[in-house]
Amino acid sequence: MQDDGAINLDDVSKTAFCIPYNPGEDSDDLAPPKRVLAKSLFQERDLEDGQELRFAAYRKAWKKCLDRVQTIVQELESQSVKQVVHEVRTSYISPLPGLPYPEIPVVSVINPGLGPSFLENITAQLEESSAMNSDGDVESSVIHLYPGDVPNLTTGMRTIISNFLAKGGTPDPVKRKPMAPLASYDIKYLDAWYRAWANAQGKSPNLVIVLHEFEQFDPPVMQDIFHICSGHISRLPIVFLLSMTSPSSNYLNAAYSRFTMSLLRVRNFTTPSGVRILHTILLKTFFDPEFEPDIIIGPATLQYLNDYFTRYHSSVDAILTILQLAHLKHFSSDPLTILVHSTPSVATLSRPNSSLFLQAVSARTKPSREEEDVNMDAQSLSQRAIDQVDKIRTEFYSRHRNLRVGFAVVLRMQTFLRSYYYKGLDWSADLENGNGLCDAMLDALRGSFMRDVKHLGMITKKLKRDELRRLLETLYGFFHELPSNVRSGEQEPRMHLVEMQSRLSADSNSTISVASRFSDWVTEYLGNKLVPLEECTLWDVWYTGQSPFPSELLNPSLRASIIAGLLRPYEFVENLDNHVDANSATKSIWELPDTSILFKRYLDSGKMINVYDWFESFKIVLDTQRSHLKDAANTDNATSPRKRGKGKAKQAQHETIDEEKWAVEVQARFVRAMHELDFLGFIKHTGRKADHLIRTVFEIDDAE
Amino acid sequence: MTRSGRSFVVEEPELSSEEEDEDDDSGSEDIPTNATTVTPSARQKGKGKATDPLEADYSSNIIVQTAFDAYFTYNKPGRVQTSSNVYSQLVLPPSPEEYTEAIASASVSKFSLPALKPRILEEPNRDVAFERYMCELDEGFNVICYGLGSKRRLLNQFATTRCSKRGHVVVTNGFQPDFAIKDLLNSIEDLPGIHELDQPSTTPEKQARRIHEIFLDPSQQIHLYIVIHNIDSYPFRSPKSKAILALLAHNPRIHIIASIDHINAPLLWSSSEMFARKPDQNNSYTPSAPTDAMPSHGFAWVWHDLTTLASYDFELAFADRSSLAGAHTGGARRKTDTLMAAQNATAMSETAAAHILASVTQKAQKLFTLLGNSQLGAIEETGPAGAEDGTAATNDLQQFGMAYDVLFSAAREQFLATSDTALRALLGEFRDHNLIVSAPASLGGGEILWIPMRKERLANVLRSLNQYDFSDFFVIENYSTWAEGRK
Repeated sequence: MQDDGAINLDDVSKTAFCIPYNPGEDSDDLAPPKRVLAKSLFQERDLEDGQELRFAAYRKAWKKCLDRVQTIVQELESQSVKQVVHEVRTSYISPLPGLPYPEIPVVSVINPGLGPSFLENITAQLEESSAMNSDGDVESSVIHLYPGDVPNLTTGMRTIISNFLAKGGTPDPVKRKPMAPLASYDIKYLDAWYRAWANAQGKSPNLVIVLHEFEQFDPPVMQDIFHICSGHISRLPIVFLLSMTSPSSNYLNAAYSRFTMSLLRVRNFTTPSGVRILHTILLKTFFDPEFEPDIIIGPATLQYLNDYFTRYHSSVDAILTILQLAHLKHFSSDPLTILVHSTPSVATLSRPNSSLFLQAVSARTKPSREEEDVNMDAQSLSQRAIDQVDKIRTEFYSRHRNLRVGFAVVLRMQTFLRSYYYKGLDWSADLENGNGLCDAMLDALRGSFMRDVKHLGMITKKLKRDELRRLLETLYGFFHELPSNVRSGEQEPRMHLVEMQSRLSADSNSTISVASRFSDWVTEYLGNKLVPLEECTLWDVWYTGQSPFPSELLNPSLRASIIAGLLRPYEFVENLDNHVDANSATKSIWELPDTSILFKRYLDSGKMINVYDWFESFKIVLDTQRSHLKDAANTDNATSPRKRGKGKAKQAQHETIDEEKWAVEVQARFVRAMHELDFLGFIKHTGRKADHLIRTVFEIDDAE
Repeated sequence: MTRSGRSFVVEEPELSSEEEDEDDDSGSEDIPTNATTVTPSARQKGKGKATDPLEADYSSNIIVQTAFDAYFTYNKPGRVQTSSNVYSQLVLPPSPEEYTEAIASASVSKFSLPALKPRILEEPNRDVAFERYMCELDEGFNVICYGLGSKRRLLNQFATTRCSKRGHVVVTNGFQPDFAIKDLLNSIEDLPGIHELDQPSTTPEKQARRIHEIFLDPSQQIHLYIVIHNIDSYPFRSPKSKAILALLAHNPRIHIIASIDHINAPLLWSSSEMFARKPDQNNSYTPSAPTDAMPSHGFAWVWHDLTTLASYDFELAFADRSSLAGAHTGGARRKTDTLMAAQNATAMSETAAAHILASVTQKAQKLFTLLGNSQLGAIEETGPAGAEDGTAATNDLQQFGMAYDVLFSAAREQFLATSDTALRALLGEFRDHNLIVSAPASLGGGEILWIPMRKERLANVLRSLNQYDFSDFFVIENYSTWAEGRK
């Protein structure tokens, strides 16, 4: 600690400490801090400013991917957003006539997957003032409530009212009578404010209350709020927008009484959810002929993403987070990823400290006439490397384009076959319940897709004339609609398709021959297209391949980590370099830290632990430890270990004082270790038996 | 290691303390053999098996016990068999002074194991870790560290060496029992550049909202880094604090670095909270929406294993070391803690009592002796019988107390206090310092007075009170050593 030594973070009398911004001498005050990636494992072959350059490359690649995914999500949700917005705006336009009492419009949105962006979108559209006024729609003032905001009725009402007031602002400096103001949680207060506000504005917007995570609100409290609001519906146009996460649509009926439900006019909306989101995002981001991502996520990460999404948390946020972390990991692991977008200039590469980087690149690009080039100088070497890399980059992206086009063709054919009730391949291209669609994507990336392609070829041989004609039309349409830069590379298949189409229409008996020709052609064509990306040189610059996703960043095994720390502390200490360390495996119990010793004894005990017995067993281990350490100290000091016994007899006087101190020390260490275990959550206190504790963890100590 | 290599030895859930008791007296000379009471011997059997050729093991142990099996084994219906030893009866809890001294001597003693230092604390590794955290914070994640050992020192280093170079830092110690979320908010508002703004002091929620809005403003160049030690601690568990934190954590210019230690800490947050992504500070999530349209919540955690193996001494500095549940951070227990402390048998140490007694009049000392002797007598009477029905006997000292009117008449007999007012005046000083506590009697009204000290301590205090005149106490600097010398 240099100049910030003034702040003593060890002060126990304070619970919070401020350390003001202290940029240091070297950096400019106003310049934003440099943002860099973490050091890579292969730091030595990084460029001088590699961390920054890679960070810039990462930002660019990730932004492209993020924008794409967000566009897809917006497309997915746009339909539902429109519906919900329309419902909210028109909820007071045409109330049902003849009801005994007015109902509160309640729009319940079941939104398990799309996350907050969906509601953000709705809010934004609701608050746009001029956009939809033509339909006779009404404007809205929107406030948001979270479960924490409504712990009880008073606070809940106060939050609602104060939020509306803060949102709308007070129209004029209202003079409140000092003697008899309305309570801040009284709905009449809102009523009075609303009248004044609406008069000032000359229009009467709806008051929309968005309740996030509605399932977590306390039903008795919400019941009262509904009841209060329903009494003022005639003057306050309140609309509740409930955001629910549970897919079951009758939560309201289950949790609220019939009496409350009779006050509400509920409209249900469901957003696209589940595996459809994942499939759409993956297909349109990584397998769309029209979109070229900078980084291609490999099968290992996609597999993880699929598992995580289907098993733990199906939301867009999870997809984005996993993709972002995969990007981050990709760029921070290898210095070569600098090459993703562009190659550094000759000047950069010919710098002396770039030589290792250059070597790494040249070794990978491996020109065929290597021997001749031994005498080349740095300048031309780097120039050649740059040319090579640029060539490889173009080649890699064209390969990926081929893969995408090929996969899209397979997808079209599969969909076509299914629509004509052929069995087709054993996965479904349907986005909704596409069983194995994700596996198909993985197969395509892994290059184990040829079996499916051959299978497709076999089926197409058996197509009827009419079906064949339609299939050819579909495929031609597909190629025709490709964006121009992709289409220019696909002239040949289009010619083939046109030719086959004309032959089919010219001769009615040619079905079999055309079908077999088509089958052969499509097998060969797809075979050429669906080439694994790993066969390209320097593929790992643009493709994450089989490198696993760092899953512990999102789904940590916390328990395992703590228990491993307790049982095998030495494994955290030893260096990674010398892996085969024989003595580390055979640490006996006295060599462990106190807390570990106590935890081992904890694992040995039953459901309940008698503290005294625990203490005794701990003491025995500590005694062993002490005698071992004494032995070690004696053998270090004196040459003859035999002396120990005699020496001890002489020091008997000394020992008794020592023993007293030792007893206290053991006890203190026991208390400390036990409190640490308690702090970690391993102990539950119970009053059932005197000085007994209950275990909370039933792990097995398999370390020994 | 080789999970399949060894079957789990299900021991009888009994520590066989009787045997250990017997062995206890035989000294620490031949411990290795001594330590092999029932439990350790079973352990060694297990060890022996592990060294056997693997084939033999595979043939005999096809079914390997898992943690689930262990759970059901241990939770099978039936009485739990443990010995009837009661720790708090058999062992006198260490006083805070004894504890501190013992721990200090244990750490410097040449006969203690050196502290382990995991490789993540070593230089290149730590630097790389810090760089990664920083990068992830920049990218809109919040970092949360788990793993065994106190992470306080390391995260403080991160705060002072890295975060303070990037922006304001606020460090909070959630493990301190008197911590409140308001402390965190107040210290954020104390930061330069923020405290100049107009801030009417209000509820924590409004304060948090205000801070959130300040940092949402794109003109706010300097970011805020909040280091929270033990975000799983009790003050942070309430829904209110969680809502406040979730709001702050979701701000693109506020970054949180937190540590957790409790094994069940991840249960604090729902998965949507854990994953909620921060709006990007450069391009908002939905370009059409203004950034503050929806005050969204969430943490965007990225988890890191930061096993330091360091002891939790600082975190547990406030724990009551004389109580078994002193470090427990449960909800209800905490609240009653202050109440418990008054009645806790070990809350009053001998030194504290000596200090109080030295500063009162002779009459008051005599009154204390009177009450103390009567309490000792009462404990002695019920002593052996009381031990059988558990802790109630020793921890609840009220039953050994003295009714007020009995004390008054005894005091009058000995000419200590002739009137009720005089007696109350004498008791006043003791009550103020909790050396004598009182409660309404359970039977028939009146008041019960007692000294909240365990038998042994009380006896010690009374002995020294009888032997020495406390008036010269202040001359002698260290009472305990002096008392020892006189013995």
